[in-house]
Amino acid sequence: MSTAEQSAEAKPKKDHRINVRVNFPISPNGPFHEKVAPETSAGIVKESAMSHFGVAEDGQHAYYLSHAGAKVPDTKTIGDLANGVKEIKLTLVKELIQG
Amino acid sequence: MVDVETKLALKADEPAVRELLEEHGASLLADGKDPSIFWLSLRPPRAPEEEYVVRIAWEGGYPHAAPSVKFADGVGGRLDVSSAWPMIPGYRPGEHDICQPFTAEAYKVHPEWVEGPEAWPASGNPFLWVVERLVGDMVERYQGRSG
Repeated sequence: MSTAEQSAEAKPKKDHRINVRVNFPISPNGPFHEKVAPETSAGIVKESAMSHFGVAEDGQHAYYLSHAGAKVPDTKTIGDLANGVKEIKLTLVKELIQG
Repeated sequence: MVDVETKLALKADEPAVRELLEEHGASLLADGKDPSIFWLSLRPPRAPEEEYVVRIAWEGGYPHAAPSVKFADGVGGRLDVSSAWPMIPGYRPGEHDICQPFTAEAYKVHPEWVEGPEAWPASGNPFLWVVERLVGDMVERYQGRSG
């Protein structure tokens, strides 16, 4: 084994994952926590959070994640949102689709 | 007269509301006379020079009933001034109400919301939920001050 290989083996791999906390204030379940890779999309986190909170989209309601009050597109990555920090707080928002 | 449950539940849920508002540079003032009333000061990020004051009154008890939510012309001020209101879809400055399923006024206008998917959510921290809606609307859907 080369010195480089030995040194790589000795060093623990850096964890680049980001701690995500999703609040849904009206749920009795408490916040949703997950550690995700930066390339994870907000849509994937939203689905996991909705499952945690026991809610599902229907014809009258849509759900989205918000960050600092702003709507987060499902395609945005958690890494882009976190912008270098290791922890972000999101909110699940239930929206009434008015006809 | 505010019941004990309302007082205790508001005391428990208020810190999370303050924490959220601090993140947005907004503030919450308790009413000096009535512990079920709060005054919220908000500025839309698109127009930070504009300050809005919202009165949140848990008149039907907390957390079991939606609060009255009205914009005022100042803390402790009048609630019937159209120019104190922002233009946001679902907010009705002329009627002085918010026609969204998180206010007492909306449930009066839409009695069909009282039960079913729009029913008032009394679980978790509904105070935080209401304030998040107001903050989110200011960030996402603000269209200017009402004339």
